[in-house]
Amino acid sequence: MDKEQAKFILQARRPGGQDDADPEVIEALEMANQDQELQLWLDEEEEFDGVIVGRLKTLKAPDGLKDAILAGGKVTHPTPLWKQPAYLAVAACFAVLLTLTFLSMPSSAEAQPVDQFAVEYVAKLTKLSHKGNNLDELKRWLGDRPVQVPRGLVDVPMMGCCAGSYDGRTFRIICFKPNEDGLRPEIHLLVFDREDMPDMPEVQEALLGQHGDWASASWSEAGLSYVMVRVGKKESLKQLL
Amino acid sequence: MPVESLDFNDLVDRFYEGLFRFALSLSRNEDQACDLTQQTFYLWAAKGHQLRDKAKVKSWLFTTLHREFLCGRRRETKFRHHSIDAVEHELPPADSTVVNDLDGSTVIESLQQVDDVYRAPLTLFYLEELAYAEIAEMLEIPTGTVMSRLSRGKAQLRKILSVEKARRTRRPADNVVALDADQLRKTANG
Repeated sequence: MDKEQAKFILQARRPGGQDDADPEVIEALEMANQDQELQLWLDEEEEFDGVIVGRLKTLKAPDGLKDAILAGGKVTHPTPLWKQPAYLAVAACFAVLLTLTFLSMPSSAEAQPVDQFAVEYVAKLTKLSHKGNNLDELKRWLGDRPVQVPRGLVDVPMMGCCAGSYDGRTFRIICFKPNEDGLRPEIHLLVFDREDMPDMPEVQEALLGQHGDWASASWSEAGLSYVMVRVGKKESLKQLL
Repeated sequence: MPVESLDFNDLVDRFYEGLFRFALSLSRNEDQACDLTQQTFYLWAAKGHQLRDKAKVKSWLFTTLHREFLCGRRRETKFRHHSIDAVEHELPPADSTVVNDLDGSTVIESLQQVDDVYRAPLTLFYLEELAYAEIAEMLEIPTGTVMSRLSRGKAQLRKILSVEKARRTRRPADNVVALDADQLRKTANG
């Protein structure tokens, strides 16, 4: 430690001697004891600092400040942890995440009738595997269960098919493209295992439904169950059965 | 009595004047200083129970007051800038004999003119409540920086006190000189 370093440290030493146990201050003080010039500098520094400290202490807080603080303290109650802004922010984030998680979860199909599910599913369907025209995959899935295509669709060309899941039960979708004008002329036939749809009526008693612009027809035949949906009136589906 | 065993009333009694002086040095305004001091104790009343190490209550109070001051200052659109560069060469730095002739108000007013960056550590140093290491922790700067700021802050304070002394001891016959000192002071105050 040289003289300048000692001055640098001693300038941070409180004049009341509160820092005299600090190792660096001790070393600097020892150096001052052995260096007359440094000691003279320190004496002047201490005196100056001491006067400033003394003058500051003469400065009194305004009358009434202490009473006001004490009065305010009596009506200020500890803030519970859960009311702290940081915790509120965390709770808010958690709530938002929970909400987003809930909203992003697939809607529960169990509470939703299969025809309603079929309409919403097809309406959201943006990319059917048309190009692959994956009838081979459909045939493999069907095995020896023949698809009973509704009479009105026998001569309508099939566009393809894809697979989906309803309440853990797999189904296939066959898309038919009638020669009709219109924005969404396609007719989609969802094919399920009949075992998965035990309550579905026979084709003679097919359930017809209207879901806004969409219509649905649901029935079972042989070992399969079907839900047919299209944009239009439900009567247009009845004519196809 | 150790600070960790002080109740609210004792804490106020022990620290409110030091906090007020610190606040006055920072804010340069008595009303704001009172407000900062009160706010600091109210925050202690509301949140002090969360402080795990009660021995650090003194640091907590000074740190909180400083933060409250900085938060309030950020909301202000205008900042006063103080520079004493223009007068540094005019007067010798004050020594203890100069300060002996000045009262507490003059000293705090002089402290208020020290550049912002030096003022907080310097005031804390003269309040004698915190060691330089605690000041460093409170201001979140290295201890070497605290020492450096104390050194420069003291040098500034000595210059300002010299100007103040010259201003207060001027005589009517020294009008021309006094006017110059006033101008210098205005320059110093920005």
